[in-house]
Order: sequence, then structure tokens, then C-alpha cells
Amino acid sequence: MGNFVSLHTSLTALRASQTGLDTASHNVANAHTPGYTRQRLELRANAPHQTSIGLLGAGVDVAQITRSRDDFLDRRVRGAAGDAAYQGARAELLGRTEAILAEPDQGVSGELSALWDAFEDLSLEPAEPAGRQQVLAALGSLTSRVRAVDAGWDALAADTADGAAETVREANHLLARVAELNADIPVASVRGTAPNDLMDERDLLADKLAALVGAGAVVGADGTMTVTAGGVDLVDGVVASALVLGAGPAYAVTAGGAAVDAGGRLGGRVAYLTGDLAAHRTALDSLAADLTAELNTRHAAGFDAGGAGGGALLTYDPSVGAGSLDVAPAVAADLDRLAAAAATPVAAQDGRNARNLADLRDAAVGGLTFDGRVRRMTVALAGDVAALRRSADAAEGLQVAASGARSNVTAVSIDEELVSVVQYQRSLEAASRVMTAVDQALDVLINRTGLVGR
Amino acid sequence: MRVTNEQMLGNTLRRLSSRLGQYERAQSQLASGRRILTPSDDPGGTVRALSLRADERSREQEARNAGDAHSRLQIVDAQLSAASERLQRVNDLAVGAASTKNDSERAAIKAEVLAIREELRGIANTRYRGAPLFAGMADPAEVVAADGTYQGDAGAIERRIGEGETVRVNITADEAFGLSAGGSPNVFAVLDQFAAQLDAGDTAGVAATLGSLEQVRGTLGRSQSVVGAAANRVESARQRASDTLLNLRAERAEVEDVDMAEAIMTLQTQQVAYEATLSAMSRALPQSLVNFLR
Repeated sequence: MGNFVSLHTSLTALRASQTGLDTASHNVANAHTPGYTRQRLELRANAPHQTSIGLLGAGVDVAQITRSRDDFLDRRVRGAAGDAAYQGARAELLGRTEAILAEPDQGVSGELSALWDAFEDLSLEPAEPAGRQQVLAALGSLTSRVRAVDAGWDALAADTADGAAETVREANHLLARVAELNADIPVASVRGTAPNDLMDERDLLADKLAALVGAGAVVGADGTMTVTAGGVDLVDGVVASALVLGAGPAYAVTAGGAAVDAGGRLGGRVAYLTGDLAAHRTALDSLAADLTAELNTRHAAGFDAGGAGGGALLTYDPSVGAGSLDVAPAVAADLDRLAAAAATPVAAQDGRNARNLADLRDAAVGGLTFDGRVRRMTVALAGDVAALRRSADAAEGLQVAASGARSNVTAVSIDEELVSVVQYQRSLEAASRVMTAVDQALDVLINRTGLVGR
Repeated sequence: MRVTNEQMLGNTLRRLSSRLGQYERAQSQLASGRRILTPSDDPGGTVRALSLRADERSREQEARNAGDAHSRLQIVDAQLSAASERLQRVNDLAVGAASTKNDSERAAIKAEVLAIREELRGIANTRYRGAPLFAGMADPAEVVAADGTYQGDAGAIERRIGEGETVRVNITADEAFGLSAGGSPNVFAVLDQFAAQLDAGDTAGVAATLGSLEQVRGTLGRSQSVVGAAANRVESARQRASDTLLNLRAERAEVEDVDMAEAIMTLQTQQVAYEATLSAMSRALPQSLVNFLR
């Protein structure tokens, strides 16, 4: 006992301070590592020695190195991230959908007005070939504009489906890694070392999965993380079930045979493909179909330059949709097939049927003019985009708030670490000084005792 | 509250990019001169703008139609006035013929009457931009044949000059000169009859012809007033269309276009705000305890 105890006590202090400095330097080193959780030294006084005069302290012990993590905050961040990614993906895709429609400057509405103008100009001088040419050109650019919108939307849908498949691949990769970590972490824990950095990695994966597929994660008593999306366990213990994206138009997401109601970016993309785009597509298709029907009916009521009854003006295939809208080949090939006259035998200045066609400008078909329908389609899309942008902004705000709150707890504060460094440095110096003092006392005892009178 | 460097950096970066976004938006509004860059910026405003654009196109078309109607009616009016003047001359000749006994004078009158008859036929056959003016909708080689029969149809050519407002812009030779069997006598038959009476020296007949001429001139006068009334309607429709167009354009500018003064102010404000954010960032971010520990 005696003086040697103090030496040992100082040694524990030295070791603890050393570990404290190591931890602080690890924290500083990882101050900007994504997903890193600051680590804290937990110190505890050693069990005291029993001496004749009572209990004598025996120094300090490093109980463990802990991570400052809060499950509640994690859940909030992941929920918000899933929501923000879902709304953000939809808003971004619908914004692109709107850009392809190109209203009001390069859209269908301008082409429709140009067509009505062309019909009306033809009605002024029905005998003039230039008027017929103008009508044909207007029909051509209207139909090609509709086809271009349809093709643009097709390409966007194909891109989005590719993107969704890519998201699924990425998520499956992450899920497999979570399952691996679920196997490694309990093993490391049993050995007595808390695998903080592995747990950080797993939490980061869970964050990413939340944004990708809207997954939630719960860490069980056995130290494994269960990842759940849309009510289906994607990682349970060390087993990961891969997500599978079904073919269009349903784009069903399943995992191990069970349907997954995915959120996050994947959910947003699927929702866009199956819901958002489909609604606007239907509007464009029905516009093309009704335009074809109405123009053809009115055209058929007239007579062309040769006195024959008007044939079809436009062609449309309902099984293909708006992409099939085109000028009827007979009219495209022969301008005289345009039925401008209303009676036969055809009088040279009879442009009444062209007028009748031009009157579609203000005529309600099914309760609304064609211009009105384009406007309704534009505003429906614009309204969706604006509403989704607002929800996306709100969701992102929530996510920012949640991750801010979490980073207040988990992230590294450089100032704080510097204070720790100073603190442990001082402890180290003090412990060394104590050791020196004890050493000097021992020196006196060993080398100078019993030398009286020498 | 514990504030971490990560959070501070993240927040600063977010604020900076949001500032830059607003700056960029103000800048593109100013550069394009448009308040609404995509429909979703203001769905309500976009609908209004689209509807105003469609109205504008429609009014522009009406103005074009009215322009076409105006020039047609002017030519019709000019031709009818010329015809009316010729008939006035025939009337004068008939009054003279009723009192003259001289054969050679009558022969001279007859020659002039026949010349006027051809002149009137020429007027009836007038073409405007490649199509006959007085043949209804038809395009016969001659609107009035040499024997005075009408070869066009009864087609009424109409122009839309306002919302739901159309105006007839032609008059047929049939209507103006009473060619078909109807209330008014055929002007060419009357002239032929007059010529025959001059040949025969039938003074009593000439007096009767004066009555027929009166009827013919009445018919032409009615046609002239119909044309005049139509021209007046077209003129007021043109005026209305140009007023409406001005209003529509102003209204659309209100909805679509950016208020320059306001946009410039906004741009300035955003610029100042962006610079302030940058400067705040440059002051706050580099600070840490490291700078003060020795």
C-alpha cells in the first residue's frame, strides 16, 4: 500500500486523460464526416481500497466511449427526409412535365388560335390556294405540337421509370449492407467494445434509405436494426429482402412477394408515373380525340374544291393516344381536299364551311371551347406543380428543422472539443505532477533514509 | 443550446443558396420582362393571360375581317355610284327624247344609251381580287350575259366583324339591277326597250320608260343604302375592335408583364441581401476557439 498506490492512481489519471485526448482528436478529425456521431468518454472512479483508516480512492477508470445519439430525433429526421424526398421528386417531375407543355408561349394554345385564324382567313378568300396552304400549315404545326408534348412526356416517363429502377438498385445495395452490419455489430459488442463507428455507418445507411424509399428503422434489444418500409420488413436481423420494381403501367413495388407502399424518392417517382402524369395525359388524349372528332364532323359537312364531300381532316388512334394525332393523308397530299364550301355545286367564293370550322374558336364542345380546355389543362398542371412545390418546400423545411435539431445533439462542435482538449491536457499535466511528487517522496525515502551522520 | 459547426455551415449554405435563388429569379424576371415565367408561378394569372391572348387573336382576326369587308364595300359602293350616275344620264336622255322629233338626234341618243348599257354590264362584271364582285358566291365568266340575264347566284358573302356579329359584304347584280323577274324591271331590258322606242320614234313609249327608269333607279338606290349601312357598321366595328385590342393588350401586360420599377427595386434588394449574407458568412464562419487559444 502506501505511496505506491498514489503512483498507480496517477497512472489511471494519465491513461484516462490520454484516452480523452484521443477521443477529442477523433471527434475533431471527423467533424465533417457525414453521419458521424460525436463520441464521449464516460469516466468513473475506481473501486476504493479498504485501509485501516477507511476507504481510499483508487483513481479513475474509463467506463466506455459512448455516442450521443437520440432515437427519437433519428425517427423524426428519417420521417421528414422520406416525406421531403417524396414531395420533392414529384414536384421536380411535374415541373418538367409543365416545361414540356411549354404554355403559354410555345404551347398548344397558340397553335389552336393560329388554326382558327387560318380557317377564318380561308373563309375570306376560299378560292385562294395560299389560304388553303395556311390552313394545312396550321393543322401541321398544331398536330406536331401535340405529338411533341406527348413524346416529351413519354421520354420523361421512361427516364423516371429508369430512375425508379436505379433507386431500387441503390436501396437494395444499402439494405444488404445494413444486414451485414447487423451481423457485425453484436459480435463487436460481445467483445466488450462498443462499435460506435459501425453504428454510425448503419445509421447513415438508414438515413439514406429513408430518403430513397421512405424506410423507417428501429434498433432492437439485440442490437440489430430492423428496416421497415410501407409496413414490410426490408431488413430483419441479418436477412435483407430485396425490393423489386414491377413493370409499367402499375410499377408495383414488392419485397419478398409482399407489396410495399414505398415513400421517399422511389415512392415519388412511382406516384408520378401512376398518378400525376396519367391524369394530365388523359386530358391531352381526350383533347386530341375530341378535336379530331369535332373538326372531322364539321369538315365532313362541307364540300371541297372539286365538289366532293369533305373527308377526314385529322386522324387519331385512340389506342395510341395523343401521339397519333396527325393531318389526314388525303388532305395533306391535296390542298383542294379542304372543304371550304358549304354547298354543292361549289361556288368559287363559298367559304362558309371554313367559317363554320373557324367558329370552333368560340364554340363550346362538351361544355367548354377547345381553347378553354387547353387553358384548363394548363392550369390543372400548373396548380398541381405549385401545390406540390409548396408541400415540397414545407417538407424540406421540416427536414431541415429535424436534422438541425439532431445535429445539435450528434454533430461535433469544434469549440467544445477544444475545451475538452484543454481540459484533458490540464488533467494530464496535473497527473504527471502528482506522479513527480510521489516519485520525489520515494526518492527521499529510498536514497536518503538512514544516512544520518554519513 | 448546443450549436455545432455542421449545423451552422449547413444553415449558412442553405440561406446563401436561397438568397441566390431569389436573386436569380428577380434577375430573370427583369431580363425577360415577364412576371410569370412558368404557369405554376401563378396558375390563376396564367389562365387569365391565356384567355386574354385567345381574345386578342380573335379580335385581331375580326379587325382583319373588318378590313377586308371595308375594302370590298368601298369598291361595291364606288361601282354602284357610277351605275347610279349612268342611270341618271339615261334619265336625262329619256326626258330629252320625249320631246325631240329629230331622227338623227334620236339616233345619237340611242347610241349613247347602248354605250351606257354596255358600261353598266361592265360594272356588273367588275372583279375584285380575282373574283366577280356582283355574282354572289359564284364565279361565272360573265356575271351578266349580253342579253341581260344574270349568271351568278344569290349567295350572301358575310364577314364576322365582332363577337357573334356578321355583316353582309356583297350585293348581287341581280339585286342591284333587278335582273330576274321580280318587283323591279330588268335595267338592261328597260334600256333595250328604250333603244327600240327611239328607233320607232315612240314618244309615248318613252314617257312610260321614264317610269320604269324611276323604278330601276329606286332599286339601285336601295342597294346603295344597304351597302352604305353595312359600311357604317363595319367602320364602327373596326373602331370597336381596335379599342378592345388596346384594352386587352393593356390588361394582358398587367397580368403577364413585370413592373419595371418594382422589378429593379426587387433586384437591388436581393443583391443587397445576397451581399449581406456573404459578408455575414465571411465574418461568422472562420471564428472558433482556435483563433484565441495560445
